Amino acid sequence: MASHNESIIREPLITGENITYAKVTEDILRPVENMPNRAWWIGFTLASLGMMLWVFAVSWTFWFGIGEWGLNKTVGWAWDITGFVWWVGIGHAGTLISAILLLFRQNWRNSINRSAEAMTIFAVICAATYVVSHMGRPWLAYWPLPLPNQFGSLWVNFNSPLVWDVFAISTYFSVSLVFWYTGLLPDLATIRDRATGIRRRIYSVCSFGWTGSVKTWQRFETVSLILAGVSTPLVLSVHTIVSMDFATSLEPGWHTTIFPPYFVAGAIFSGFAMVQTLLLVTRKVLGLENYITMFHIESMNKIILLTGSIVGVAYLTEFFIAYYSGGEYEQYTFLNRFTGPFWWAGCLMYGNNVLMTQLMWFKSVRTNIFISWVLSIVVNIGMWYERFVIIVISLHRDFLPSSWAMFHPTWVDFSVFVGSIGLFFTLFLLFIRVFPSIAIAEVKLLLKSSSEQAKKELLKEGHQEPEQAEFYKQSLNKFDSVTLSEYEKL
Amino acid sequence: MDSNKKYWKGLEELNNEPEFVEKNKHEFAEPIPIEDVLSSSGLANKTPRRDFLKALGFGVGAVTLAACQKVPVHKSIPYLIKPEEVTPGVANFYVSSYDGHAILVKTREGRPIKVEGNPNDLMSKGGLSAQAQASVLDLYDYNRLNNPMLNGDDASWDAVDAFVKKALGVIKGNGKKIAIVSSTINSPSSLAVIADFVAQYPSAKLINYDAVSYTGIIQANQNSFGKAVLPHYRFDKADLIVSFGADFLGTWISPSEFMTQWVQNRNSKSLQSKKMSRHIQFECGMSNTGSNADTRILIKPSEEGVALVNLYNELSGTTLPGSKPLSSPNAEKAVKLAAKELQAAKGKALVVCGSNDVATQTLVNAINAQLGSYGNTIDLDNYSNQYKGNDAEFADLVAAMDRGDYDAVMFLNANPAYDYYNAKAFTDALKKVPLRVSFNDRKDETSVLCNVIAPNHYYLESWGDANPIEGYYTVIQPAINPVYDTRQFEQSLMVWSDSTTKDYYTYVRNNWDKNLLAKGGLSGQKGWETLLQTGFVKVADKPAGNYTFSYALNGVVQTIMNQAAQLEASGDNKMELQVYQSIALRDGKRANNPWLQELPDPVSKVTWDNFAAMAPNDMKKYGIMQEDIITISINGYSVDLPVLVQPGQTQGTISVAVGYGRTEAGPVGKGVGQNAFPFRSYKNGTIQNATVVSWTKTGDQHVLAQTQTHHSIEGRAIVREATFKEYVKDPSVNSGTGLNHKKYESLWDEYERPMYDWVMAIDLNACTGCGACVVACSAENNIPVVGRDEVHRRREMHWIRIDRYYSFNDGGRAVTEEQEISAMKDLDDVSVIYQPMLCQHCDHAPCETVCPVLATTHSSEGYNMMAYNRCVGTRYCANNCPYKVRRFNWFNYWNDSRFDNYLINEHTHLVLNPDVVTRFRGVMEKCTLCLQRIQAGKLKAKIEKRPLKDGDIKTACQQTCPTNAIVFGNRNDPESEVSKLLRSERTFYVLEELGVEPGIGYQVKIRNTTELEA
Amino acid sequence: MSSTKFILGLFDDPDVMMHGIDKLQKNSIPIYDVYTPMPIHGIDEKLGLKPSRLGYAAFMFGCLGGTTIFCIIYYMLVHDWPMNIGGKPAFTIPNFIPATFEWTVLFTAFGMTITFFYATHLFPGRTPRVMDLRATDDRFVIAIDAKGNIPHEDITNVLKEAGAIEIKHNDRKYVSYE
Repeated sequence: MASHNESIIREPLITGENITYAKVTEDILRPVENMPNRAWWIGFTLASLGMMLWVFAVSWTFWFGIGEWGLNKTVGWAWDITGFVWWVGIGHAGTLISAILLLFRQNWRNSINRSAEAMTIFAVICAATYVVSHMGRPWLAYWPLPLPNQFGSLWVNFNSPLVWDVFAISTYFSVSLVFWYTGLLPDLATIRDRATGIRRRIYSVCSFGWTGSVKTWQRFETVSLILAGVSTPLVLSVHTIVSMDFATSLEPGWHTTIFPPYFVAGAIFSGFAMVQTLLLVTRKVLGLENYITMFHIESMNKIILLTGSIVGVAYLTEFFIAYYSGGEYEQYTFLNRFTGPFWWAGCLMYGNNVLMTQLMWFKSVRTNIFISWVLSIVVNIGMWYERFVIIVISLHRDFLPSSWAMFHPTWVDFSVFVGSIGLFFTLFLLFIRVFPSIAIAEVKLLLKSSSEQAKKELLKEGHQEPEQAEFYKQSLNKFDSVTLSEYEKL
Repeated sequence: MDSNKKYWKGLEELNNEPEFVEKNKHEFAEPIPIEDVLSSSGLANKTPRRDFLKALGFGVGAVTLAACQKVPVHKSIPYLIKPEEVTPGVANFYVSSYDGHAILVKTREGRPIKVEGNPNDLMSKGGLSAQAQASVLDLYDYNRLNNPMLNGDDASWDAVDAFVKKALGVIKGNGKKIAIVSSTINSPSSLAVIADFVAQYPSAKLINYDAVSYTGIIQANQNSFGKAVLPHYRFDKADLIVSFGADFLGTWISPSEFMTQWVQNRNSKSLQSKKMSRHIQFECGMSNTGSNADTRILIKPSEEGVALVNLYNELSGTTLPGSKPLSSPNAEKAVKLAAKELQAAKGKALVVCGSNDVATQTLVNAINAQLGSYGNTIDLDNYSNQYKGNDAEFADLVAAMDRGDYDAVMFLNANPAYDYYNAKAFTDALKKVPLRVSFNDRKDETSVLCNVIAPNHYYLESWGDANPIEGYYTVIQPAINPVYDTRQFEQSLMVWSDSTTKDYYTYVRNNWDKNLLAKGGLSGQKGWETLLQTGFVKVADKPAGNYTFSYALNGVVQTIMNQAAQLEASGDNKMELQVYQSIALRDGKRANNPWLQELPDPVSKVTWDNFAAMAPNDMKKYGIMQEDIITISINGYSVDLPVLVQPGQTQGTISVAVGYGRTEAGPVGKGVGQNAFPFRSYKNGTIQNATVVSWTKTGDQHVLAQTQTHHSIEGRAIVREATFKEYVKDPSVNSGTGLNHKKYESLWDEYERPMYDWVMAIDLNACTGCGACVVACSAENNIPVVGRDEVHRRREMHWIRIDRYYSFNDGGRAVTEEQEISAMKDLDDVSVIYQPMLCQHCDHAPCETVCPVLATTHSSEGYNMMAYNRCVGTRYCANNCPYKVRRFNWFNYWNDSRFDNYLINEHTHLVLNPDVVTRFRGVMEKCTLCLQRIQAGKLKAKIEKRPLKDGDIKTACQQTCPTNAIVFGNRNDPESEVSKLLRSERTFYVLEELGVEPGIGYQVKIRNTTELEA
Repeated sequence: MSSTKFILGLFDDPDVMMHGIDKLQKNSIPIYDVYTPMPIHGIDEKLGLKPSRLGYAAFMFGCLGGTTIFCIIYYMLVHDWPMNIGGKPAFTIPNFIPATFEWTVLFTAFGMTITFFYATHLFPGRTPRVMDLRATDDRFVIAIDAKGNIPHEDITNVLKEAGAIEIKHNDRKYVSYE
C-alpha cells in the first residue's frame, strides 16, 4: 500500500529478484547454518597464526620486560600507544553506525550495523590488550582501578588522563557489548526456531527466550533508541578522552586544544575505512551482494571522504596554530614532521589521509569496489601513521636537544602489532560463523519499502513521474547486483 | 516410673556367649592393622576398604595437627657482640687518603660504601674526581686475586715467602740486581720500608714508572734551575692562564686540585667582585680543559713547539735561530695576542704545556721565567711529589734486563706489559729475569708473566701515608678488614728483608712518631689520635726562593724544530696522532670499573669505548662517516677504531685515548676499545705523546654508545651565556632577570612549605663537566650500570647527566641550529657549554598530574617524590617531563644475567647504600635530591638538639664537585647560600616559560673573551 | 467443546495482518497477542498498549551513576587522603568530569537494559514460549484465545477473509516445550 512506498528516486537498499522474508532469513543465515567454505578456512588459518604470534610476543614481553621493545628514555611510548589509539579509533565506526545513523534514521545502516558493532567490540579488545601489555609491571594492571586496598589509603589519581581512559574504555566496551547483544536477541531467536538438537539448546539459552510479541518489540525499540542516545555522546567522549592523554600534557605536538574533535573525526574516518575493508570481503565471501549493495559502499565512501576532509582541515589548523602561537618548540615539532629524520612517516600520514581520500570526489572511484577496498586499506595505514607521527615524532625531539633520540622498533614491536591484527580477524571470522552478520529483523523492515523489487512494482504500476523513473533507472547502473535488462521494457 | 527393661543387641549378648564377651573387651570389633599397614610388608599386602578409610582419617587428623604448629621464626641478629663504634643504620666516617687527597670513607655496618673528599683537604677542599668516587667499587671487585700465587698456582703466603727469600738469598750471593718497579710512591713510610729492603739487599733499586709520566717537566726544571722536581702549579694565583695542550682540568698532574684553584677566579664570588681570570688554550684535540677555555686555538702537535718558540720571541723581543711562523694564520695571530696579554699580566700569568718533551718544557720554563711566574704562579719549593716517574730510568732497566743484569724484578701498581710504549721489548726482556714478583691486585698483563704474585691490599684495607705536595702529609687508615687473602706489599717487603718490626701498622706508627707528627705540631698517642681525626699534617710553606732561568735556548729550539719536522705528516693516508688520557679511565688501571666505563666522556659523551676523533672537514674530505672503522698503524702496530666527529679537532690530526684495550683487566674492562699506548714513542729520553700514523678505511662500522647524539642547542634559551664585558656592564645580562623579566603567575594557591623548601643552584660558569657528580650519584643511589648496548639504545640510568652543547662561531655570530651548521664550511671555531641536568623538582610538576596511581607526588618540603613500589610503569610521567630526567627500569638490572657487569655477584652487592632501595623491573626512578641524606641531616640535628644549619646537608653531587658548581639548601632560609645564589642576577630557570616552576636555578655562563678574537 | 486452546492466524505480509487485526476487532474478537519476526510500527496503538516507561528508568539510573562516582572521587581525593599533586588543589572539579560522565552512561545503559530484561522476562536459558516456530522467520501470527464464547469457525472465517494463508487450532498454548 502506498503509505509504505518511499519516493522512487531513492536508490534500493535491497536488490535481487523475488526476495521474500524467508529468503532474507535463508541468505543471511547461510554461513551460520552450513559448514564454512574454503575462503573462510584460509582466512581463519592465517588469522589464528597471527593470534599465536601475538600470544608469543606478548608472553615474551611479560617474561623479559618491556625493554624488549624499542622504547628508550626519550621515547617512552611508541608502537604500543600507537596501536592502542589506532584500535580504539577503528572501534568507533561501529557505534557510530549503530547509534548516530539510527538517530538520523539512516535506513541503510540496517544491513551493516551488526558487523560494524562486532568490529567495535573486537577492536576495543585489541586496544585493551595494549593498555595492559605496555605497562612496566602488567601483573599490577588492576592498580589504576579505584579499589579499596590493603596498602592503606592508596587511591588513584582522577587528575590523570590515564585513569579517565580506564573509565572511558571499560564503559565503552561494556555498553557496546550490551547494545550489540540486545540487538542480536531477535536474530538468535530466529536461528533457534530453525535449528534442532544441541544447536537449538545453545541458541535457546543465548536468545533469552525471545518470542517477538508486541510488547517485547515495543520495549526493544525503546531500549535501542535510548542506548543509541547514550552511546552517541559516549563514543564522542571516548576518543576525546583518548586525545586528552596527549592534549593535557606539556609535550609540543601533544599540547593542542584541537585534539578532541580532530581525534573523533579521525576515529570515525579510520573506523569506516576498516568497515569498508571488512564488508567488501564479507559481502563477496558470504554472497550478501543483495543486502550490502553498491549504495552502501558508496555511502560509506562518502563518509570516508567527509571525515577525511575534516581531518585534513584539522591538520591545516594545527600547522597554522603552531605558526601563529609563536611557540618555538611547537613550531619546531611541526617542521620536524617534514624535515626531521622521520620525514617519511609524516609524508605517509598526510599523503594517505588527506590526498588519497580526495580521490573519492569521483563517482567512478566511489563505486569501484576494488579501488574502494584499496583506498580503505590506504586510510588504515595512514591513520596508523597519524598516531605514530603524533606520538613518536613529538617525543623524539622535544624541549632539550640533549635528550633527542631516535626510535627503532624491535621484532617484538612488530609481532605484537601484527599479532593484534591476527587476534582481531580471528574473532571476526568466528563471529560471522556463529552470529548472523546482518541484522535480519532490521533488514526485513526494509523489504516492502526500499527493496528493488518493490520499486520495480511501482514502475510497473507506472504512476511515476517519467523523469523520476528515468532518474531511478540511471541510478541502478552502478549496482553490480542488479540485472538491468528488464528495466528496458518498463 | 523408671524402666528397668533390658535391651540387648543380639542373641550373643542375651546368652552371653564367650566370644562376645571377649570382643566386648576391645574398642573395635576387630584389631586395626596400623602397624603392619605402616610397616613395608603391610604396605605390600592389599588393605581392605575400611582400613583405607581409617588410614585416611588418621592421616588427615595427623596432618591437621601438624599444620597447627606455628612456622618457626628465624631471628637474625646483626651483631652478637656489637663493636662499640658500630651502630646499625648509622654511618661511620674514617679519614684516609686517595692519591694524596685527604678523604673520608663512609662505612655502614663495617662496609665502606662511599668515598668523600675531606672538606679540609688542602688540595681540592673536599672535591673528588670521578676516579676517586669510583674507587670504592674496586674494593669489592671479585676479579682481584683472592690469594697469593706461585708459578701460576694458588699458594700460601709461607710458600711464597720461602720461595722469594730463597731466590733473594741467591741473588744476594751472586750480586745480581733487583728492581722494584712501581708507579710513583710518595708515601714516607713505604719509601722507608723500601730503603730498609735496599739496605738488606744492596743491589736492589726502586724505579718509579708512571704509565703517563712527567719526566719532561722534571728534567726541564733540572736543566733550567738544577732542581729535578715537578713544580706545584698555582692556578688560583693566575689571572691569565695559557695552556699548550695541558689538560689540567681533566687529567694533567692533579686535576681536581687544579679545578679547585682554577675556579677561584671564575666562581660567583669572584664574579661579584667583578674579577675573572682569562684562560687561553692551544691544543690539538678537544680536551675537557680546552672546552672550558675562554679562547681555544687549534694547533697540530707538530706546531706546539713552534708556537711556543714564537711566543717566546714575542715576549722576549728576540728571534731564536730556526724559528718559523705557524702554518695557520689564525694561530699565528693568536700567539701574538697571547703574548700581548701575557706581557700585561706579568707575575700573574701562567703558561703550562702538556708535552712530555724536555726541550719543549725547558722553553716553557724560559717563558714562565720571562713572565716572573716562579714564586707566584709556580711553586718550585713546595713542589709536587705526585709523579716522579723517569722514562729514561725504565728504558735503561729494560735494556739491562735484556742484558741479563737483573735477577729479580718486582712490580707494584705498575703494568708495563700493557702500558709501556714498547711492551714487546719489555716482555721479552722480562723473560730473562728468574724472579719476577708482582704486587698487583689482579692477574693483569704483567702479573701473568710473573712467577710470584703477592697481591697487595686495596688502599681501603691498608695502613699508610702519602706526601703529594712537599710539606703536606696525609694518612691512610683501613676502613675494613681485608676482603681477600691479600697482604700489604710493605709487609711483604718487611718479611722478605727480615725487618725487626713485625707488622706494617707499627712501622707506620713509629715512622709518624719519629718523623711526621712533629711536623704538624703533634706528638705521642694523643697526636696520633688527632691525626686519625684530621687526616693530615701540614708544614708551613717554604718561602719562595728566587730562580733565574739559565740555559742556552738555541740548542733547545733546534731539538724542538727537528721534532716538529719529524711530526709533520706528509701524504694522504698519513696524519698526526695525539694520544691523551680520557677523564673516565685515565691510564686504564681502573678499566675493570663499570661506573667509570659507563661514565660518558665529558666532551664526546661516548661510553664503553675509545675512538679516533677527527675533524669534520677531514671526514668530509676523505668521505668518512661517524662510526666508520679506520685502521691506524705505526711501524708494525695497528688498531681498528671507530671514528668520531669531533668539532674543534685540528684538521689533519687524530686523537686517541689511552687506557682502553686491556686484555687482562677482568670481565668488565677486557676488550673494551683498543690500546693506544704503543702509539707513543721514546725520543730524547722521554716518552712522546704525539706521532705520525698512516690510516686506511676498512668499510666496517662499529656503533659508539653515546649518551647524547644531538649537539646543538637549536637557538633555544635553555643554556645562557654572556661575555665578561657584558656581565660587568649588566650583571643580569642574558639571564632574563632584568627589567623585562616576565613573571609567571600561578593559577592556584601554593601549598605550604612550613619548615624546609629544598632547592638547588647550579653555576654553569663553575661546572667543567668533569662527571665526578655522575659517579658520586651512582655510588650514593645504587644506580645500575646497563652496559654499552643499552646505553646505545639510549637507556642509561644516570640520575644526573651533564648536557654538552656546541655552538659554532661564524664571524662573531653564534650558530646553533642543525640546518645552518650543516651549511657551514668549517667547524673549527667551536665553543662548548656544559649543563648538569637532573630532576628539577618542579613545584607544579607535570609528571605528578599524569601518574594514574599517584606513584609520584610532591612532598611538603618541596621535592618531587617517587614511590617505586606503587609505580606500574606506564611511563607517562617520563613522556610528560620537559627535561627528560626520569629513568625507567627496562629490565631487572639487579638479577638479569644479561647485565652481569656489576651488582649481580655477591661481592659487589656489598657496595650498595642500605639507605636507598634498589629498583625493580618496570618502575620509574629519578633524582631524589638525596632525600636519605636530608633525613640523616635532620636526625643528626635533632639528636644534637639544634636547628638544622645551612650546609649540614650536602647532596652527593654537590659534595664531590671540585668547583662547588652545585649548591643545595633550604629556600625558606633567606640567609642560606642557595637562597643568596638564587637571588643573584645571573640566575635563570630552564624552561621557566612552561610554568612548571622548577626548583633548580642555573647561573649564566660567563666567557672572558676579548673582542679581538671575535 | 473442542480441545483447541489457541487459534493462530498466520499471515505472510505485515500489512495484510494489520487489516486482519482491524477485522477481528470489528468482530470484537479479543486478540491474545501478535508475534512478528520484526517490529511492526503502529501495532501497539492498535492493540491499545501503553507506551513504554523505560525512558524514565534510564534517566534515574543515569543520575544514580553520576552521583555515585562523584561521591567516590570526592571521598578518595578530597576527604580521605588529599595530596599535593603537581601543585594543584585537591578538589579539581574539571578533572572529575570525565569519570563522572562515563559512569552516568554506564549506569544508564546497564540499568535500563536489565530493567528491560526483567520486565519482559528475558534471561539466559529461559524456555522460549513460542506459539509458532515461523513467527521469528517469515510469519506474522495473530494469536486468539480459544476460550471465548465466539464459535471457532467464525474466527477461522474472519481470519480467512482477512487473508491469513494458514489457520491453526492449537491444543497446546506453546509449541516449543518439547
